[in-house]
Amino acid sequence: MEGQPSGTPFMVAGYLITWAVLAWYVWRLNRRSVDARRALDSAQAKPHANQESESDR
Amino acid sequence: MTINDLPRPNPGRAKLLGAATLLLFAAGSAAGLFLVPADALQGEVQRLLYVHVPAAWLAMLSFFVVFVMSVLYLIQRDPKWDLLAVSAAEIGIVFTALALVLGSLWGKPTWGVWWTWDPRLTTTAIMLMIYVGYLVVRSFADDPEKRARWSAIIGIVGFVDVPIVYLSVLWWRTLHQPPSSPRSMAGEFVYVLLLNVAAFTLLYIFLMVRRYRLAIAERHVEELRLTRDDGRIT
Repeated sequence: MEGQPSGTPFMVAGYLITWAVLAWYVWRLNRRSVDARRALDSAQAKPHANQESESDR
Repeated sequence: MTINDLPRPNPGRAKLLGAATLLLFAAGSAAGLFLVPADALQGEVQRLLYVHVPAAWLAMLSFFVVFVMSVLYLIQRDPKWDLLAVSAAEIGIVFTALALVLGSLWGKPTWGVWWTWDPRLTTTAIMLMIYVGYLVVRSFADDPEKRARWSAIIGIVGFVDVPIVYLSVLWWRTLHQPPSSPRSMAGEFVYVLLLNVAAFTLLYIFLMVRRYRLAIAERHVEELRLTRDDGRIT
């Protein structure tokens, strides 16, 4: 290994990147799920609103 | 079968799975970093094995799941197979990118380079491009059935590269070492590697459950919007 860089910083960086990427992905899935739930509520509310306004007429 | 008939995963069970995954993942990382000794030749950097190999294994498992779900979709035309395929493809991309970055971090101190056009590295990069392309193609198709059909075909044809990635280190003379196995490693290294493979596999199941739930919700939104738009046109 003479002349080669020490492996410890690479090993530490690898573990930190692994944890960071996986935590980021779980966070992204949570955010997208919240957004999808809101969009679902809004999309479900609109047809009802349309039906109500048609029956009012 | 319509989207309303799709199974709805149990959120309580998903939370329990998340807690078990976190515990096993922490145990695997602690064992890889502190319990097992450093490699006699490579030193501390060899500890990357316990995250690099599981990430690569899960990438291949994900794309195998994409392949199986794509075949099932083309046979049954059931939207759940398409939603499972896209969930597996996205998770597979995350793990493939992670395996490439970790391999690069391992390669610099041992090979002296961040990247080389070695058969294993090159075929893995091609695999990443294929499944990124899979997601790009999906984003172009507005019709859910057409999108599912196109992506199922890519999911089947694209899988051809996955066994090539695995066998590349056996078929060609490469800088990358042959696949790690219990026969090529000392016992304590094997146990820690298996612990991390189990932790990553549990994490994969956890991510699949969450991603599949998201895919179902997104599909519901899309169907409601399409129904509303059809109502406006007629």
